[in-house]
Amino acid sequence: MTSKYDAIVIGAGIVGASCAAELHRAGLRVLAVDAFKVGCGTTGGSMGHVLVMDDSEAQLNMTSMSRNIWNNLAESHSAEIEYNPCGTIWIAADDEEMEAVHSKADNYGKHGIAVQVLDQEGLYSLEPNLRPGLLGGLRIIDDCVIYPPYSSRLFLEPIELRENCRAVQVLDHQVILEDGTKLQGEYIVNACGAAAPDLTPELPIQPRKGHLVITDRYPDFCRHQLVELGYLKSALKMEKESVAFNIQPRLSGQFLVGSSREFAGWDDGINHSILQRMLARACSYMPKLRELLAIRSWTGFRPASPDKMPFIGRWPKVKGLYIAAGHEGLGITNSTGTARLLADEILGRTPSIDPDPFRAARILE
Amino acid sequence: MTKVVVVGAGPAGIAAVWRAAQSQAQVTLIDPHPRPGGQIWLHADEAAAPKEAKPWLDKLDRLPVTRHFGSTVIDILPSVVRMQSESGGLEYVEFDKLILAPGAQELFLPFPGWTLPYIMGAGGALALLRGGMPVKGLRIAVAGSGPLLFAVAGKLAQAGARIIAISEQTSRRRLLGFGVGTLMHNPGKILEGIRHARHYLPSPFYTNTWIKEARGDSRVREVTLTNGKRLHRLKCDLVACGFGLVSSGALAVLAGCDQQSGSTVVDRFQQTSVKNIFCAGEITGIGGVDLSVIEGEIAGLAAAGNESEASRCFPKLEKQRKFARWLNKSFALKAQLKDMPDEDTIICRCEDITYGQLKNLADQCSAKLYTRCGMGPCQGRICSNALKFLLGWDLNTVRPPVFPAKIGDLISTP
Repeated sequence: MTSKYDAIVIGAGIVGASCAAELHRAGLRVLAVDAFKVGCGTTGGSMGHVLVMDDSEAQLNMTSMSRNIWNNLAESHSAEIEYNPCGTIWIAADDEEMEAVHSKADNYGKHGIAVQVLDQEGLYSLEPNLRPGLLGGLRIIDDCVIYPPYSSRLFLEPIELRENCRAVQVLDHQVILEDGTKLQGEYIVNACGAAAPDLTPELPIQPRKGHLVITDRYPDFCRHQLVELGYLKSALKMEKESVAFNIQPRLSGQFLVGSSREFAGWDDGINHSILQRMLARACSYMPKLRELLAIRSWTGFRPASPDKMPFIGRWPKVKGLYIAAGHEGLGITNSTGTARLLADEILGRTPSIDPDPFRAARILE
Repeated sequence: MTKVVVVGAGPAGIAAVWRAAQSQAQVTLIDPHPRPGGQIWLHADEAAAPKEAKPWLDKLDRLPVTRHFGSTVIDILPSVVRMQSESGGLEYVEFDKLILAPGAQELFLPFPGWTLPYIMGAGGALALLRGGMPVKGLRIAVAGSGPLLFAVAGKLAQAGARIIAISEQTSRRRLLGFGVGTLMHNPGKILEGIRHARHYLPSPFYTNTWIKEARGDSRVREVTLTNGKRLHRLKCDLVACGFGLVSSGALAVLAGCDQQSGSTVVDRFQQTSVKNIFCAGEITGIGGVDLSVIEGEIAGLAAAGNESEASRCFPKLEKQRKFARWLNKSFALKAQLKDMPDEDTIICRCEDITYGQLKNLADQCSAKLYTRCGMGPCQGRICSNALKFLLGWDLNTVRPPVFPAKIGDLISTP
């Protein structure tokens, strides 16, 4: 039995869902398949932070385009994606980090991203529960938070979808499913996140495990997504294990507390020592967190690439195959921009941003 | 010396402690209540302990056991349980063998209006009554299924409540059959039943009948019963309802023990699918006090390595299991009860999720992802059991902490 589609997207996490939606909008006949169900992997376990990052020109272009798409989507679908325009505050604990606040502010400013430099007083007036003695922060005004599983479902609403449907092989213009079914597609997108190498073994993507804790409801305990500037050190180095302070307000009045990073294969069990370090780090920034009730903890797997850049675009080894995977901790943010860039290439449109740093084939050269 | 940790100080837990201690194990007992006895033998102080509990409580008093009452287990790691102790801090208790005997909880099935104040679980009503809730003169409907309804009606009536209805969903025929079976297997239970019946006998008693809806404002004012055809509308001040008991399986699910039909699977020595973890009592399937005690004895002996003694309990076990099967068959829930909730009936009270939002989803994982059903502070303890009955969904993930814990406690190290 064979079926013919213009595009088959494998993986219905937020990246696959967004790519499917973008290709559908362009008029293609799209099928999305997932080995389990929509958004049940990394997407379901993630924080849903949408933020502009400036660690490289390419990343800034990608995150900024992506955030714009999210903010535009929120104008019509705020409730469906559970949009919270809370902004981000990067917290500076020492002089070195305060210097980073100023240089980052300049850089963001040059690219037209609205930011506010907070001195000590400014920081505590916005977030009084932070520990005393911090120096200030950088507020990224238009960053937001969305709920990823809802958003994935929204993207896939108009798309033909097969769940519990595992793709086991991709050949030229063809996807083979576990039950032997062959699906024909002009374009095939591997959007399997950390599991993308299952179908495309040359992709050097590794699962980078993280822990999260959610609290009971404490309205107004914290109003912005707060991240320590030290987070960048944690996220950008490829150390075996690291933790950094990161807290996020949900519309429900609950808080997600993170973050940890480790390479532990696909073991999804709670690593109690790293969880404790992570929470202790968080409490060192917000001592009153100690009094909040944690109601659940869990783990997820970021799809980590060696150069911290996702793989987006044509995969020359298989005809018709495209990759959209390897977003590490920025998959929620960059899902929208990824879809835009991928569709630009598939449809022969002028690229919305410079696609070169993201090209999937870079790894083959 | 084998370190045996027993979680739950109800009949199964106490029996396990007794037998393990007798077999020279070093035993630790953990229970969230301030006193031993579990839900079934709940009592405020020593003088108030139920008569049938006394011999067991006395026995426990004399045993050389480390006791942690008022302590809640929040996580199980290989060879360590983490518990929030009475003082609030987190403590770690090491084990060679772990016996889980957390008992059962009431099954609440949602119907329109079930979230109104003064609608409560039958067991909950009993607990409040023991805690001093005044019921004199209140018009109370007792509804649902199972022997507990009669006990609750009896106690409430004895305390001066007016029982306006006892509504049992099972048929008169099955109920009679249960009575005859009980008489054969366990005549003492019949005497107990008659003792309760004295108090509520003048009350209207309906079989094959369940709640259609409740109405009210700041509290329940009226309840409507139905047998699928006729409606009985009754003014009332309080509704006590329970649809039988279900296993409290969260700790076993967390530990990775295999589940079947809502209970933890055990072999004949009460050993679960996870090495060194045993389960005893209602967690392995609802069967009442006597079965729980036998299972507890077997688990205690087997955990302490005394399997030959444990196997001597097998004949008694089989007898009690037979009675349990009889009980469960007699009060099996009717399929019509699945129609009790309507589109707008709240199922998950933590997250305010309605039946309409859930009924077309595939499973509990979808419900969590797409509605957050079961993700509030109770972690689905209430709604997952209702959804198991209504939609056949299995609870397959429990994430630590099993009960909410302060972040400050989670970061304390032993």
